[in-house]
Amino acid sequence: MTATADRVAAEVERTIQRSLKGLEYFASPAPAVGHTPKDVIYEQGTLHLYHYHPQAAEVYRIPILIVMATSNRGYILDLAPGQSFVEYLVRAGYDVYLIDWSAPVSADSGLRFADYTLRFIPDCVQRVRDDSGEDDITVIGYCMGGVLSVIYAALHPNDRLTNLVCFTTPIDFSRMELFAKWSDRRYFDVDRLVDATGNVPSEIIFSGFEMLRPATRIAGQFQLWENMWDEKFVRSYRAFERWSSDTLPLAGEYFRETIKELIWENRLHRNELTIDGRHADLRAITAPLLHAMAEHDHIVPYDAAKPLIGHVGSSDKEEIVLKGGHVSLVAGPNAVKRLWPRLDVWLGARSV
Amino acid sequence: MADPKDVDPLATWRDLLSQWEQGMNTIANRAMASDEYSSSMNGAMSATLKLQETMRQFMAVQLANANLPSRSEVQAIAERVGGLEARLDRITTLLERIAAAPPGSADAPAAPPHGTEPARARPPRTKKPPGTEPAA
Repeated sequence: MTATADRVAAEVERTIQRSLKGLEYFASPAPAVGHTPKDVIYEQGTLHLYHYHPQAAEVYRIPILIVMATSNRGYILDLAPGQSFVEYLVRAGYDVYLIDWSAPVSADSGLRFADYTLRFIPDCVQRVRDDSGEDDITVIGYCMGGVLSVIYAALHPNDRLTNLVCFTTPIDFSRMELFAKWSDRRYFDVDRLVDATGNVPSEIIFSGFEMLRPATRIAGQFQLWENMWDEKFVRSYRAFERWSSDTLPLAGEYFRETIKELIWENRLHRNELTIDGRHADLRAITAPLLHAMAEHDHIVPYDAAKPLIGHVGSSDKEEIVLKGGHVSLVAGPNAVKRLWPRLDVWLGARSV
Repeated sequence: MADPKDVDPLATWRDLLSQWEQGMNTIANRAMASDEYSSSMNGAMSATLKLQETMRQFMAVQLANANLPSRSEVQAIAERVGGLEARLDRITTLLERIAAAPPGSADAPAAPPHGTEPARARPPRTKKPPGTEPAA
């Protein structure tokens, strides 16, 4: 009886707090993100290469280059102090570089896979080598950043790639069933879309992600209201909300190739992808590989990601499947407890 | 010991919301995985694109006749101005850092890598994974 009374009293207090903090919520600006100190060491059009300031007395010998997904901003990996993947890495003694993407402008509409995998990534790898003074390098790719990293690794088997880490990286695009259905070649005229828009607008990309879980945004609003009294929850919710609606447009030709080569022809899974006439042979990847996937990933389901391990030629390879979704795998309170420590153990031993 | 749900008035609501979300997502995904949905969604998008293209061509002719720039021309100028502003920001940041650095310091204008960022003191690359350090 007392417990019930206490609970009701607490709920009344929370209701009052919800009203007060709800006003604050609408009056305050979006939370700042990307706190970890960094330098921009190279920029070219849509590409930005960051170097995060080391925060340990000594760092591992081998630097890390993170390749962000092309459809979203890199600050998901540096969301807030205590919830930042790059902050975790630099504090754990890694020397961290990150390729981030900004919205492609009309001059970028002709960017193709070849630009990303034969020019952008190799160029950044070389700049990391020059900057760090180390030839060996670890590449970490997230989602489509993982796809680009895998293609890069397949095209550059002699490039001293020391470790390859992929986070929820799709390989068998036929298993991304809703995306495959929506872009069914019988109904989807990708040429018309790209020819008409140049770069594919962010609204289309955002809608594609939202339509995978149409009820989740509404449910999220209710959860926000319920937890409005909890400042920590609200701060985290707003940071994620800001990021998820900050979707990037995609370069038109890159989008066209994604649809035709990866989704329609499934060439990556069939190991038949060619980039500027060069076969991106996944068997040519021999670097140690870690592939982390999420159990409840609605964007890249496990079945779409799992073939990577089987395709590569690496003898040292491991896949891990963790609880969580596409984003909570890499960011937020669950990632702090699950993925990041696992990665640290795997990568630390291979970074000396 | 009371069941926590007995004393949490929102527990039932939370369960219902979760069930509703899962149910709605499942139903919507099933509907959106059909040929009919794909056909109608892409049909609507094609029609919109066609309409937009017709309007764009019409407006381009009208604006040219009125001696006014089209949206794409204004956009191209805006992109170039944006690029210039970004470059100016980088130059300003670099100059401020160089000006603020005391002579002879690591941030003084010695030999910035790639001509963009000044040299910064770096920790040694000697770290070993925990548990592998030699005993002191």
